[in-house]
Parts: sequence; C-alpha cells; structure tokens
Amino acid sequence: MVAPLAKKYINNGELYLRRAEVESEIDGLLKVSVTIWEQRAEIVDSTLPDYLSSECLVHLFRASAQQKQEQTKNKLLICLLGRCSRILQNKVSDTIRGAEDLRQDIVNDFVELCLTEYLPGGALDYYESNFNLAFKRLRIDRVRPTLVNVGRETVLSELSDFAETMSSDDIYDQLLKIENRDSEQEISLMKKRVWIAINELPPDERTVVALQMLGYRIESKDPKTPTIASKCNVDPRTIHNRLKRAHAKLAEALKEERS
Amino acid sequence: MTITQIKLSDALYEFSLAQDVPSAALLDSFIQRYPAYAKELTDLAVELVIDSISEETPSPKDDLQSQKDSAVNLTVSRAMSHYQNRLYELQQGKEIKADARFSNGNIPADPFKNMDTAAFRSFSRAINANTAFCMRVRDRQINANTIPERFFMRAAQELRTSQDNFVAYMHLPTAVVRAGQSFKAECKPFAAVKQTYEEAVNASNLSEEQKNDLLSLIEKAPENGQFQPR
Repeated sequence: MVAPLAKKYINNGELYLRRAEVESEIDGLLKVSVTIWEQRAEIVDSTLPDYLSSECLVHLFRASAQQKQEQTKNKLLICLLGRCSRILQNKVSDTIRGAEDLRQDIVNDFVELCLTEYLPGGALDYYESNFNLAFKRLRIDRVRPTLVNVGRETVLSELSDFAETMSSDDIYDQLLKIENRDSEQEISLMKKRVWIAINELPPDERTVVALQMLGYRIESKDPKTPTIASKCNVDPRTIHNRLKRAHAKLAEALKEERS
Repeated sequence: MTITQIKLSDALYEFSLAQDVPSAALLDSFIQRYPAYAKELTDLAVELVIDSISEETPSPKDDLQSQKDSAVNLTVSRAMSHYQNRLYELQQGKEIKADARFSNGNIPADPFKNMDTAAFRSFSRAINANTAFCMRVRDRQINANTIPERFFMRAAQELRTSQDNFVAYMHLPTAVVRAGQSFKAECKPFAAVKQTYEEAVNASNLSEEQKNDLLSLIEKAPENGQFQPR
C-alpha cells in the first residue's frame, strides 16, 4: 500500500491526500516492474487505458529517485517534463513576448522542485495531490509579470464574427454566460478571445474585472464586507468607472475584426 | 504557528489546490487566516480566475502539431540538461546556501546585468517602487538580513532569477561603480554603509502607497521580538 503524503495543511494540520483513483493506480503499479512504469509513462494519449495520471507519474519519479534507480528516474522525469511542456504549449500563448523562454523557465522551475523537493513532505506532495492545480500555480508565478506584453495585433487577428453580436452592454453577460454557447469549439474560441482581451486591459481595470468574476460586489452597506472598492482601496465610483472602461474596451476588442 | 513560520509558498499552494476556480468566499477565508499574505493571495486569485476562462481543451491534431512536438522535445532536452547540471552542483555541494554563500567561491549571477533603462524602470514599476529605491537594491546598499522574504520573492520573480540567487546577490558587498556607469568626483568612490530595508524604503522618496506596500512585506516579529534573518 502506498505511503500517505507527508505535507500538511497549514490551517488544520491534516495531511494532503491523493485522489482515490490515483492511490489505486499507484498501488497497482507498485506490484509491477519498473520496466512497465517506463513503458506506460511514455504514453501521451490520455484516452488510452494504460495512460498514467500525472499525479501517479510524479509518485513513480519520486520513488525511483529515493531508491536511486537512476535510469528509471531519468526516463520518468523526461516523460514528466514532456507533460509540463505540452501543457505550456497550450497555456503560455505565443503572443506573450519571449514565450519560448518563459516556457523553458517554468519547466526549469519544476526541475528545481524535482531536485530539491522530492522527499516526503516536499513541494512535490502538492503535485501528487493535484498536479494540474499545483502546476498552474507554478506557471502563474512566472507568467503574471509578462501578461502586460500580450500583443494587441493578436487580439485583432483572432477576432471574428462573434463580435458582430456584441454591444458594450452585453460584453460582460457574454463573458459570464459563455457556457451557454452551442458548440464546444465555439465556446473554446470565444473563451480564448475574452482571455486575450482581458489580459490586454490596464492592470487596474484587469483587476476589477477579475474581482467581479470572483464574485465580489462593487460596494456594500456593511463596512465589514469585502468589496471590490475596499480591496482596491478606492471609492466605489472609481470602480464603476474602471469597470465601465474595461467593459467598453472588451466590447471594442471583440468588435474590431468586424471593422 | 506564527506568520514567520508559515511559508508564503505553502499558503499559495494551499490556496491553489483548494478549488478548481477560486471564489470571493475562498479568498476571504484565506486572507482571514493569513492576513500578512493578503496581497499575494489576491494577486494569485485574480490570475487564477482569469486563467480559468481559457481552460485547456483538447485540440485536434493540426498542421502545427509537429512544430509543437519539436518545441516540446527541445524544452525537455534543455530542462534535462539543466537538471543534470544542477544535480552535479548539488552533489558537489556547490549550492549557494544562506549565510555561507560565498565560502566556496560561487559568485551569484547579477540579475541586473544587461538591463537597460527602460527595463529597469519597468522592474521598479513591477515591484511597486521607484528607480531610487531600485538603485539601492541593484547596488546592494540594503542589508540583506533586513530584507523580508516576501520582497526577495517579489523582486526575484520580476528579475526572472531564482530567489536563492537573488538572496546571494544581495549579500555581496555594496557595488561602488557598475560597468558602463560613469561618475565624476574628486576622490575615489567608496562603498557606503548598508541601510536597513526599512531605512531604504523611507529614504527613497516613495509614495505613501508604495511605502505602505513595501513595508507591509516585513514579517511581523515573533513574540520574542527578534527578527529572523535569512
């Protein structure tokens, strides 16, 4: 039976857990030879039955590192880094200046964790608990400072007839009701456009849009209730203005292709 | 557990793993638990919620697939090379560590090297400071033992260097003259005595908002009142 994770929640001291299916996946693999680990680790198509979850792959890498199985460890690490790199191909847009270097930096950050945090209780415990969410945090750390560099030209080139139905009044509704669109491809394309347009906003407007998406209200009669205005430490009217400007820019960005 | 014992990194991971997409309620509960990290948690929540708009969707194989595959291979190859180099360094015991940073002769890389004026200004904006304060940082006029970890983290991120390297860099002696800089004086320039972080913040003509923000990064002293140097 696989040993539990050693990392504890700061809040209540409870241990982080793996998902049940990851636990049973690891249990099954601990009964077979490392050659099987290596073969299955090379499968990149997640729809195939022998595909290993990334959480499981992290565990196997750590196990081989702790047991000094150098060859297996290196092979598994290559597969793991390949997954990181593939995620970044999709998630770090080429429109960001220096995207290739940025992707490399993020993968190298992960390499550092694999070198220094692989023992029980190290940061890799987070990746066994939920690989995608943990890796997202690592990625955002690096990407955030560069997001202001998203190129305007790309937004223009990627817009299309979706914008024809947009007005400045319904831009935010479109953003929030995006799931109601018909085809998966349409939703995906639309989301990408909105994402690029939001990342183009000035930082103060981008922040208020995000805070609204998180569910904060602009202001509240109860002074103890956190609001967008209190979080930004400005008057609610300023927030109204920022949102108005932001929505207008989003609408404009989504319309520009038309003109 | 005091705030000095809680690592920012752990708090941010805990927040990231709590929900697929964060909400105001989640953020508020974390800020209540870790008030010293309110800004960092809010920044992360903002990025996570924006990121959630463009969730990964399976993309069909296209003409660009082979191009992507070769990019992946190149990244992995470079990362493995980085891994082997770092592993060698670690095995040789060459890693730069807190206060024994230079005893083995390793000199940390200068994160400001090749930074032009525009990039330097951009860096100062990114860390919510001004160029006067950043020059004190660049020239290592600030006592590294008084610099809060969260400032190291913020600045290292903007400088695109590792936190360890930046910490090590700040422990080097004060820079007198940097390459490419000129000076005019009647006597040979000398290194000034290093200031504390707080002194540097107060002496750099920062706006009140900038001062408050930078000072808020200082870890609260534990009950025995002693600051924990890195």
